[in-house]
Amino acid sequence: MEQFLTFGIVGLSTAAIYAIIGSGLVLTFTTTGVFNFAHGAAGMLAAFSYWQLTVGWDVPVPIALALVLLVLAPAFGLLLELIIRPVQGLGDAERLVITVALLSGLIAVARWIWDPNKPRPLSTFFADKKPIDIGPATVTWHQAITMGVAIVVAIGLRILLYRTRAGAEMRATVDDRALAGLAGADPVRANRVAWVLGTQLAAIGGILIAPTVTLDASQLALLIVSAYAAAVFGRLRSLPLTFLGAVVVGCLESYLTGYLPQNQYLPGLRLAAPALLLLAALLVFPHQRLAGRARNLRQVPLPTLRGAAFLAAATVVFGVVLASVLGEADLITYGPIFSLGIVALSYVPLAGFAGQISLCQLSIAGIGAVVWAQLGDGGEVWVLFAAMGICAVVGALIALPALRLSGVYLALGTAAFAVILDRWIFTLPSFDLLGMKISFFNQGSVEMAGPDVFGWKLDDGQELMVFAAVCLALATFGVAVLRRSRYGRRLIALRDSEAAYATLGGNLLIARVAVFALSAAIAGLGGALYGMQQRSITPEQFNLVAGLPIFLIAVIGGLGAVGNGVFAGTAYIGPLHAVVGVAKWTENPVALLPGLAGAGMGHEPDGIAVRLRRQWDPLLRHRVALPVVLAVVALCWIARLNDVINGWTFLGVSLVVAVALRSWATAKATAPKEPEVPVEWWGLRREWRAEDKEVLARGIAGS
Amino acid sequence: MKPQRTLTTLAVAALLVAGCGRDGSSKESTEGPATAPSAVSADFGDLKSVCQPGKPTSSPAQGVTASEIKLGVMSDVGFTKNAEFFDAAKVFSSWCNDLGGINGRKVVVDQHDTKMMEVRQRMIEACRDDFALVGGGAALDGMGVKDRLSCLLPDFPGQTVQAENVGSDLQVAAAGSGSSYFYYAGFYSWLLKEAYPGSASAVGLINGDSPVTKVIGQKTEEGIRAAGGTVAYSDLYPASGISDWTPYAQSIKSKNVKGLVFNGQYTQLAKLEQALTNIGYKLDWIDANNNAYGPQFVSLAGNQVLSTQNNVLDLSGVYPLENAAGNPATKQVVDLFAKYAPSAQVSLPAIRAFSAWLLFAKSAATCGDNLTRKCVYDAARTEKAWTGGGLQAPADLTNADAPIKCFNVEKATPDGWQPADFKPNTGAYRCDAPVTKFTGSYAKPVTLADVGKSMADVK
Repeated sequence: MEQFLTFGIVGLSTAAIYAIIGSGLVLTFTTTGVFNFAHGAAGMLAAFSYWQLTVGWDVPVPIALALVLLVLAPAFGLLLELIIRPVQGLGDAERLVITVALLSGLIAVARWIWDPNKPRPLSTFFADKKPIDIGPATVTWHQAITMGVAIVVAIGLRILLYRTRAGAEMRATVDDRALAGLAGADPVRANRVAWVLGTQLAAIGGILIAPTVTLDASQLALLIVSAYAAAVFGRLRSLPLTFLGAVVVGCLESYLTGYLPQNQYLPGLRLAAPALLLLAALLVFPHQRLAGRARNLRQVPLPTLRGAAFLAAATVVFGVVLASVLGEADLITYGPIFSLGIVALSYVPLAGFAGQISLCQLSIAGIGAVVWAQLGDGGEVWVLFAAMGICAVVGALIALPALRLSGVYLALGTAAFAVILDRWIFTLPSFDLLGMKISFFNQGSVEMAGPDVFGWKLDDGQELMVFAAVCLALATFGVAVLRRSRYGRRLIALRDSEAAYATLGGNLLIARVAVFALSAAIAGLGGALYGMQQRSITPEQFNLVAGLPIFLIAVIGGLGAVGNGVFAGTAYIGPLHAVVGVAKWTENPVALLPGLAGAGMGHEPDGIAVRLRRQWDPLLRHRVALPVVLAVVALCWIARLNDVINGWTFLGVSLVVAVALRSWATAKATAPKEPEVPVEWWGLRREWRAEDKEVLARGIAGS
Repeated sequence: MKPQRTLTTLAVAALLVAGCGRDGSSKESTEGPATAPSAVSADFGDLKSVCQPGKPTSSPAQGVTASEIKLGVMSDVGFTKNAEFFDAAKVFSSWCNDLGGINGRKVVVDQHDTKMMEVRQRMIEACRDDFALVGGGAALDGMGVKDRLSCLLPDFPGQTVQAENVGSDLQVAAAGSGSSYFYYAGFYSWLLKEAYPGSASAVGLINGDSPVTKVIGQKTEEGIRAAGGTVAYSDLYPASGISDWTPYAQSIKSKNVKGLVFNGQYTQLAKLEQALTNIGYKLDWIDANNNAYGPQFVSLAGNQVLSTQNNVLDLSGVYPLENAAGNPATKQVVDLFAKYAPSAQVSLPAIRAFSAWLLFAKSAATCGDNLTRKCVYDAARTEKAWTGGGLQAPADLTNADAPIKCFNVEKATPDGWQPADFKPNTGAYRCDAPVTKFTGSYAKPVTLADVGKSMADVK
């Protein structure tokens, strides 16, 4: 009993921090509708600033606290509001991605400014005072202050939301943005208040937590998975429930540390406990009403079969050219363009067509890789299909509970699933289940063999790259066919309105399970190929953090576009390595790129892949320019193969010629057009045409 | 040399785009601003004429020409931002080249930044260009070992981490390897049988949740049992960090753990010890592991913790840096760093790398003009008692799998690390470590036969 009490008190002190961070998350989410993955990163920046002021520049603690909490944090909150406002009207995935981008950007910035190898001791508050003994447990003054602050935050938020005008405005904005606007409230102002307050709460949490954990950019930014669990307990809406959730999570972690029996299977369970709790909290959610017509929907582009075939062929050609010009080491570095491209492509049917957000695609790819590693020693191709099949089953299993979830809740649920795999499942030693021996990463790394395709053993980098390119091409074409099929249209209908879909006789369960299974199978294929290229794999290559950039780039590329696979693979792998390869000093700025790209996403909501397609279309359709470009590239390629020019010249010349001819083709295509005649003058100032009647009818129907 | 743990840190934080600092590039050297020696001497410690001019004419192997030898150095700099291996390479090569190189051939350092996940790529590049690998290490070095053996590239590592690489073929570790023996047998035997016998019944173990550290944890557990200890508590912490160490501290207290082995980042250990100190629990000893050796841990842990908790670690026979003044070889490394890389810190891995460089240089010098991989590897394997000129305790390199005999223990004080009272019997070291052969099943080091080659292929 004594021990029980002790661990309870210990748990409460942890809970206080989760409560502060979780309440900030809830506040911004309810007011702005954006779930801020960068919340912890904001706290991290505050902690570093606080360290810089107090330890680095010897500013007295009270002044430093005031500077960070009252000047820097609000300023940063306003900056966040500015960055996020353009995407607020976009879909769930886009809103999620911008904060993921911020997270990665802020970590890169902090690592750039504050050298991670320098020790940064930060002492707790009142470290020299003797801790308070409560029975057998001991509470330090720092912990006591943390609990006190949590209570003050709770009371303060309550007063703010229910007793002040700003609070009423914020609540009104949550309930009905448009109506609040009509009543004279200013939703933008409410948003600003929410961001400022949220950032301040993150800053308080960061400063309180930093002395008890390591002052390390990524650790501080990612620690708050447990705080997410607390926030989800409050359904991202209720502050009191969030506080209750924090207590549950804090105490659970503490009791598991104290009481969990020790064997080699269970420690991971404790590490994954917050994620399991998060998943459980999501699942006991009351079943929500089916979502009606989602707002801000964008049309999913419809690829032609000819276009898709062309894209597939181009992918294969790209793979062959790349494989022939790269050295052995570069083949490993750039090989994932195609394999991770397939993983990125798996987002297209799932998130692009069906509107389901999943953050665990790379984890599923990891399962595909493990299946290949454990069964595919001999390189039999059927194992590749088995890997896809097993991934499909896993995907279907995820879909079952996910049926209750959508939007950001689904994203959190799948993220929790990824964390459970990372921290528990992937690190398990092998065990027997129903007579089958199941092993994952053998608690280390596992070797991967190349496949044996029709007696053709593929095991060097070139062969594997071409093989991966062929697989990506096939998958891309398959997804294009899916988009054009009846099933594809159904998925889009599901995205557009679940309620309408169900009303018209669609089976939600089957549709969702099927699309999850399909995209998991695609991801599994990508994972197996990725593993083959790397030859040996470790769980770290497939964890949640590694998967976020792929999701980020896939969303930036445009989730609806079938060309997204090859785009995301190239954009993710290509520039980052190539630029650093040319100029070593660019390492730090390049680390910022994904973050910046995400932050700029508000300007290209359809996705960059779609825009590229639009920009390059004139060239692709031009009868002279296209053959010229192809000829130049082919010539350069031959020159490169014979070592007349080097790889960079090849790349440079091809790019310059392609861009120049594109401009030329674009100018030609858009050249002379007859002047626009207003509708009312049709038939008078110009001749009446056969199609005009339909154009007018459609115009009237559409308005 | 099996500083498996030395890089556990890196592995622990794998793939977090950040993180894990080991002794770093902070601008202080352990010995303060030492004055540079007035004239460059060709001797190092008790090694005579390590580098000297000569008139080589031939180009007997890849990476070797009449004027230079190209040597690869692996390091995760892009990930850890810690350039200690490159610094050591820079200092050694500058010094050696000032003396005329190895028999007249200049040492050219080919830096390979493995960035944690790019070990294979860098190994393939090294295979293409280099004569051998010297004085480097990567956290996930097991990923590159097959490639290295396929291209018959000899390795004189500064560090080895993964079981596949530790003690693999064509590898001469300057501190000895002994991959089938427990590396810290002497240390734990001293802790559990002599210094703190009361702690033997309640040893605790905390590992970072990374596959690499978990394997090390299992080996440590076996080693502790062999040394007569009972593991009363064993736990993991997530690589992504932990928001509050108090539950762990409370657990350690309630299980009455007397001695704690910590296989993880020293930044985390400092916080765990703060939590232990806050709840008023003092252990007999905490094995901070040699990652923590350096001023960083001392600064992070702070006076209060260091004067309460008893942090110890095993340098496994490397002469302690804080006493450099008492050992000519260590003093010379510190002076050479001050001269050729004044802003770099002399760290434990840097000393180990330096020992590896000296081993390579001495072995290569015996080959004369006809410098081949086989010659340099065979020459290194003839060293019966390699001390790196006095940087380390003698290691028998003639047997690729011989148990380590010597250890030396350090303890942390508020003023920094100092030798503990471990009853040294051979200079600064104690060389009567018991032999503990592993009985558990662990990954085996990769051999030439695994990649279809044999020593006969090494030219």
